[in-house]
Amino acid sequence: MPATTVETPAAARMRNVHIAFGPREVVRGVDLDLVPGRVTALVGESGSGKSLTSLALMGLLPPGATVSAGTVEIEGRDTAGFTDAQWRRLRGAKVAMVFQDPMAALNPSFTVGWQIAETLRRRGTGRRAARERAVELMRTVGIPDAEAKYGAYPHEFSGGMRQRAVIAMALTLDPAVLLADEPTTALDVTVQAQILRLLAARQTDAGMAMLLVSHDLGVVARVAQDVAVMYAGRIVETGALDDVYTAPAHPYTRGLLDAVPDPARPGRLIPIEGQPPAPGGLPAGCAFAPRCPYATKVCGTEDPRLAAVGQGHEAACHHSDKVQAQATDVEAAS
Amino acid sequence: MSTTRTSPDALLHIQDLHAGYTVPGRSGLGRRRVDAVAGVDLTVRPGRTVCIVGESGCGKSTLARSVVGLLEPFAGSVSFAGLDLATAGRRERRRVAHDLQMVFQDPYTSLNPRMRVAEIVAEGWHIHRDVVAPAAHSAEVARLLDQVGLDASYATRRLHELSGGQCQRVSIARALALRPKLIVCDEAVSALDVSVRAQILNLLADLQRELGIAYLFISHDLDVVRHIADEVAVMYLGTIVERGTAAQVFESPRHPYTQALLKAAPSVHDRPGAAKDLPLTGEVPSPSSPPTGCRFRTRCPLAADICASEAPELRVRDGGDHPAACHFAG
Repeated sequence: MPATTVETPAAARMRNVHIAFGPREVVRGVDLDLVPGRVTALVGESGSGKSLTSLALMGLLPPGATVSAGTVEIEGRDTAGFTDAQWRRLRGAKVAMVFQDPMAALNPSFTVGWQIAETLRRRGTGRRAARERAVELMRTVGIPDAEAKYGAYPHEFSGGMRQRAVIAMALTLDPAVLLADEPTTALDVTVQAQILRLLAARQTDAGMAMLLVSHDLGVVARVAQDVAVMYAGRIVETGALDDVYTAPAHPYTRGLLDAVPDPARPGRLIPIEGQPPAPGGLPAGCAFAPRCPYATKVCGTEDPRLAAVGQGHEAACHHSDKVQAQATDVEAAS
Repeated sequence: MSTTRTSPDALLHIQDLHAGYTVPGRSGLGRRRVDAVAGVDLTVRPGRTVCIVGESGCGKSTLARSVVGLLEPFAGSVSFAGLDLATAGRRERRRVAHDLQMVFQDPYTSLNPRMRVAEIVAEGWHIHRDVVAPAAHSAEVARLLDQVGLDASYATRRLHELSGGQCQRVSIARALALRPKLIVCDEAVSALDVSVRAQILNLLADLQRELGIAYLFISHDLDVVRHIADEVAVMYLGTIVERGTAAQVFESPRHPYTQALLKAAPSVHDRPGAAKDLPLTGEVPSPSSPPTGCRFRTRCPLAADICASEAPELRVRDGGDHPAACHFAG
């Protein structure tokens, strides 16, 4: 990904970002470039630090968590030392977010339309104009009968319609960056497909940069062009989605892909043995080494850094050549 | 003994089951039945895995709860090992209860956080006293923990010291403790991370091979279902719309809902831009006022006049090799 930033300036950029709860570091040096017109997926399992990474882009880290090192830039502006007021001006206008649970993102006591229009009214748009724009937004996200639904409360909406309303809210001010944290995890399969299609369409139309945070490799494959895989607070592999999925160079990425049941590979699944390390209880050397089938002596002592394994494709593994060689063997054999 | 004799090889036999909940009547008087499960027939044979797939509101969890006796059905019969559970007395029910266990989606809410792992696993033995002699309890707990891949030292721990995957192993050990013939798994792996999910699915497969346990496995995850199922039943709004072997349902789906579901399911082989057709619009209607005729017709790309007037039967149609409930499945 860093390679693409040469041509297009990143809408959001993270450099060596560390996020800590007091002395416990949960994100340990993340570089990320979100480029206009592209969808980047941040993939990882629970506890990998993917959600905190996306929250740091909104200045919305939970109480006790801070960016302890590194820089977070939005459209070239360093956000270090931003006041609450500065963050508030940025949120919605430059960076907007779609959360996992639409019911938690909507206020149950106000009508859906009013909540979408509120963002505009707070920025000085007149009541009537705000209303018209809100109805128009509701229409663009596929809420049928938008004019009538303007006055409906969130409980009168189904799960899929609520998530559409939340997307409409996020799009209100034409943000440069859209963050979507597990946007379809709470939805049914057929509705999930509708929402993914909607997100991809809006993102393309608006030329936004989008960060999709997900644990679901299939969801990611449907919308993202680039992917970054996180493990124990670090990005362990990054590159174009097709490269990472077809020729994974980190054993964790490979393990995740193998652990998904696939009709092409019947029989026993290949799980990743063991558990991810607890933050603060990281092993010496590579954090994945205790679970890694490729681990050797060097992995127990030396922490691998991201290194190029292909065009725009990087992995943090001492044995990425072996991992990739084996992946191609399997592809060839099947 | 009040029994409904069914085909001798059936472990679980469900016939025309109606179950759900009641809501206040339309005029505010009395209660009105809402059939979340509206006429389901299903058979599970010993040592087999039958999967029920469907989206939220299709009645799959209501079905699971009726099978294990957590919910009393409105009508129809659930018979287990030849005993009709609806008409059986308490004592008879109890006799089969330990053969029929359940694993829930969320171990943190289905297991007691105040108990130690050993107590959770051994709890059933206090009710079913003939399963394990009291003197053998701790040895048996250690054996069960080993069987589900947990070190014996976990016996003295509490749940908050365990990860999600470890907790789900405890749920499975607890279900195994009564040596069941059938385990009902309601979204048992849905809350787990991908890598841990694979560990638990392998464990379930190993246990089936070693102990001959049958599973009634309820899931919305089609990848998982395709991997573990012998037979699949697809549910939509309270009824089974298609049934067959995993190969039949996944490779030659006949019902338009099954076809749409398979297309909508994300896969690691998908790529952006190469979007597949999206024939389904809208969402599942409420089970309190289902459409007339075919329950799927409001979202169906094939819907015609006949669909509004006549509910299609679940049967094999011309050209098909397995039953589907669609007028146009032929």
